[in-house]
Amino acid sequence: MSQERKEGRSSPPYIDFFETLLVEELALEPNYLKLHYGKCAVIGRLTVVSDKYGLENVRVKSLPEEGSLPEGILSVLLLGLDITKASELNLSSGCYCIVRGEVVLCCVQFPNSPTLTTGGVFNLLQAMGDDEAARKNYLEELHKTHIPAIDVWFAQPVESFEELIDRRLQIKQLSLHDSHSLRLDTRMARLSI
Amino acid sequence: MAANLSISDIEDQVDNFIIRKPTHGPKSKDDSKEGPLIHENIPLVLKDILRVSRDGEREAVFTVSINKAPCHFRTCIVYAFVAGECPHHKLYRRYILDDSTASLEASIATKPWKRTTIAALHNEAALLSNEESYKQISESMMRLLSASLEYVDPSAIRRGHSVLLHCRPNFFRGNISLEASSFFIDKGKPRKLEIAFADHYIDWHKSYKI
Repeated sequence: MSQERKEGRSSPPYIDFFETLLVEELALEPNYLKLHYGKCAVIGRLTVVSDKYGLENVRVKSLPEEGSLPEGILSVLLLGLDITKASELNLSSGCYCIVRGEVVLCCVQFPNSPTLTTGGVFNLLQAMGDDEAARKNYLEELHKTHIPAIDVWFAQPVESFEELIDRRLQIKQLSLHDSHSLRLDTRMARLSI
Repeated sequence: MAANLSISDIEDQVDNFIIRKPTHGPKSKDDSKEGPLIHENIPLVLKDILRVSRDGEREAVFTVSINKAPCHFRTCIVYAFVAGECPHHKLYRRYILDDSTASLEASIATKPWKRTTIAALHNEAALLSNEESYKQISESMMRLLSASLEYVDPSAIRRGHSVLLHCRPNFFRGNISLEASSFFIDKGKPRKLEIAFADHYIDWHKSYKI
């Protein structure tokens, strides 16, 4: 616990570029304090269920077998899309697309209520001070009421999405390698949980 | 421009607007015979650009470390998504680029004189098309000139497009940005250019050594 507290003390940095992420990384994050904070670019399959837009995961060939999930098992909610906007962008249900936007936490029961972000939640918890029980309680409640979602700023249909994901992950890995970070490895480890 | 130019003169003019890019790869241009290799047109991502520093001795030469080895270069190629437009200027247009590794500002020269020359040539071709014997060739000339305008005038670049840029880093008041000399707009679904650029980038970076 003390280890977690220490980690929680440092404010998460806002990622101000559209970082390449997988649907898995958003949908499977077990701790909302560690959810991606900032902008992201995610490739997936668009689904429309009763006017709600979602992005399903796609098969990522370059991941090791144990970390790779079959297509369509996970889905992340997309905010800010409606039928007019989708048709303007040439998006139809079932098409593969690249979505750029910001990661938010959306209230399941009241989808139109203001969304939260990882940074916002962190600040709220900081404001609670040292009341450990209250912090824990708040986080637990948050996990029940909110789900990760992408507030969509750009969306484009893409062909050859498998190759595109593969290349974008390779570039990400190369650029992380140059700055001596191993975040991708920890992400992959998390995926295999 | 005189109206009595022959077709071959126009062809000579058009030749100035064909962009002949040198072939990619770790081809180098060594000015001083001594000293390190100075590369041209190296593929970089925006996060690499943020690590670029100016070369102390040579002007317009930059240094970036690749595979922990220093790489000197004059120009580079980037592929990025256009995330926003900044206030534009008469001589250049400014955009916010984002290639999912970092976000940077880029300015692309509008080269108004090139546009004027192309428009003048277009008018000449239009004049010639009145003459029956020149009709066919002048019409294809006009099509060619309209097409070439797409590669010269960056005002067609919009938020949401993707672009391939031939550029160099620019340092100004402690900020780093990009200055593009030529560009290509990548629209539409296939994303073949993005994949091709990524392949080139990955190959180049994995094989780079001094």
